[in-house]
Amino acid sequence: MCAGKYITAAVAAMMTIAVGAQSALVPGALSGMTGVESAQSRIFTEASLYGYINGGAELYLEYGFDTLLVTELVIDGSDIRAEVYRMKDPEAAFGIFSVSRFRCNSGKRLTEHLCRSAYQLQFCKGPFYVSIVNDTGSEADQENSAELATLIIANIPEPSFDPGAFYPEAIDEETMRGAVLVRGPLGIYNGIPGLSDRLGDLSEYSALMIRHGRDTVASLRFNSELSAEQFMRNRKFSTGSGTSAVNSDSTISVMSPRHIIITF
Amino acid sequence: MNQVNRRNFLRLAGAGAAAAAAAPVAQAMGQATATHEKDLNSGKSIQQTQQAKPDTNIADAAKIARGPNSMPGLYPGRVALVKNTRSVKDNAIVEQEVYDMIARSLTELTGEKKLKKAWRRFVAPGERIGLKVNPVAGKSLSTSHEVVRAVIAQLEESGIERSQLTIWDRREFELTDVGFTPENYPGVRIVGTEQMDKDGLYYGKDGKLYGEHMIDRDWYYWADVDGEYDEYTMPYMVNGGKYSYFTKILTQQLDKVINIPILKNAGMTVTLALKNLAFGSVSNTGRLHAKLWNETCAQVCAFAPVRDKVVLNIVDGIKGCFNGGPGANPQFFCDYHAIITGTDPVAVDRIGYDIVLARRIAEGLQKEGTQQALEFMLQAERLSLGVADRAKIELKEVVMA
Repeated sequence: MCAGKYITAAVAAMMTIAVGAQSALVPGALSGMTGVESAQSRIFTEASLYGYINGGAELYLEYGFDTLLVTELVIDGSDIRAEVYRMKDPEAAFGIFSVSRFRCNSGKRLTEHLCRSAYQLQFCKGPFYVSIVNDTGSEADQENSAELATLIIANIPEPSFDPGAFYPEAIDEETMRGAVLVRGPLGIYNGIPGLSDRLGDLSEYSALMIRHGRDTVASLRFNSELSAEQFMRNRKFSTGSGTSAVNSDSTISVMSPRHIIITF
Repeated sequence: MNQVNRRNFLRLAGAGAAAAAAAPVAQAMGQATATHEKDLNSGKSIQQTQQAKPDTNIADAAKIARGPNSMPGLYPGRVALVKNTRSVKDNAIVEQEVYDMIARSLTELTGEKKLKKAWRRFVAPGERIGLKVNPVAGKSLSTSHEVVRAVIAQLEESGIERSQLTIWDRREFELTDVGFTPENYPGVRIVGTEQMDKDGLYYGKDGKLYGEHMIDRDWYYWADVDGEYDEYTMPYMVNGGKYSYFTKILTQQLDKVINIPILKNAGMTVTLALKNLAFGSVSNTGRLHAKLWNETCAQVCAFAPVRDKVVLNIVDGIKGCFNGGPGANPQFFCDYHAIITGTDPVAVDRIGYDIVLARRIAEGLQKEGTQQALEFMLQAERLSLGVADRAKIELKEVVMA
């Protein structure tokens, strides 16, 4: 127990030096856990994320990445790795989460956007995307991962991502479980590759994609009116705000000069 | 505190845990011009976009004449694919089954009845032979020890001494992390370009990075993209700038290379033979992912140290991933139960791509393949490194169980 506290203190000190709000998350969580035998942390910034995930860094950078805190833990004799990504904003955190989750198992809903499988528990809250990976998939490791997640979540004061800015009407839980948020081609390739031919060349936007029956609905919020106009021009849409138009493969609704919704 | 000491002082505590690696294909954005090309997935004529790309020194690669071992090697366009569902039991790889699969793939590829004869088509006693593995995604998604041990065993049975063998990759500490250690492979040399000593330091007594001594400045891949690395978190990176130097492991210390990647996706495409070689053989690769991923995969392999020394590719397709790759994302791990073997890295990659694509379609991630996913293979084909056109690939498929 003493060793555990020493480790926790060391981790806390190291991370406090390196990053701000993120620094408190894992050590804060560890201080509430028993069975932690060792913990080693590393921090990666925008300039060094490549050192951790090589070219995979490009996806995070596309969404908007701030810092990553990786903590390798031994809990009750098992290796567990906690990755806490601080993204630029909650949209970016949800975006990474949305393209990383897959066939989530049921279980206690620790936070709004959470996905668990035998080997991984991942969630996003506020600007944080968190992935906790264990090596065995055992019940004990899954429980330890969930306990760690619970404690980390408790240390994040910011609210969960809210899709309200993309869709004026509320989206039900089931639909949100399949929603994908993208900000560039890599997000599309990873999250909704079927649209890569249609949207893969876009930039300067955020898009929340949801399924509606057999259709895919994409709510695109552009960073500028110019980007939105270019998009409309390139796809041969010519319409003003509040109107709708159709081209060969989609229907479009202009919500505002920088916000359009397309149904494919 | 001088910079060297400060760097070492601030070295990564866990550099040994060099972590998950990932490289979803970073497609270059930019001005697009429309071109027409035949879609190798569907055979239909399609319109695609061609991005403006930074210049590279690929023209230099052709200045060195091709030799008898140059890619695509002894069997252009031929690939042996061996499947065996018994290769994984209770989530563990069954080494004897893997041994048999590799042996069968070698005899299928070469047409030899004797395994020793098959191996001796590629390697001979006295040669310095490298085994290029892929450990970058950590323990859970690296070239498996079962496959590497089977390859070594068969080489030994074919008259190759363990002292002739080198297991190598770009970062020695990543090899260590996943268990490619002298203890696990007695008698086999294990080395990486970027190194850390037993005290966790990246610098030798001469004040230079160990990796500095491992790169060959006579051989380089130049691209008009600058690399810049954070000194504190990546102190082992040998160089930034616009040059990527080939490792001396390849240019000076090996005669032949057997390439052993693991079957993984990278976005909608794959990271297999060409990617494992290209990004593992040169320094300063971080800069190449965003704008030149396809080009790097193909072009680095066109330079003589790679082109003329890699005699065989054996893809470890026993376990792999179909999404989230090439980083280790457990929810996307799967058992492919496959070994893919060929001298032609392009054809090997194409067959591997088809396997991953089929899984992605089955999992509902995609409905069909894309031309973009084939781009690095097409570029490699244009550089005469192998065959990307599926219709021209001779696939020798065996289902053992």
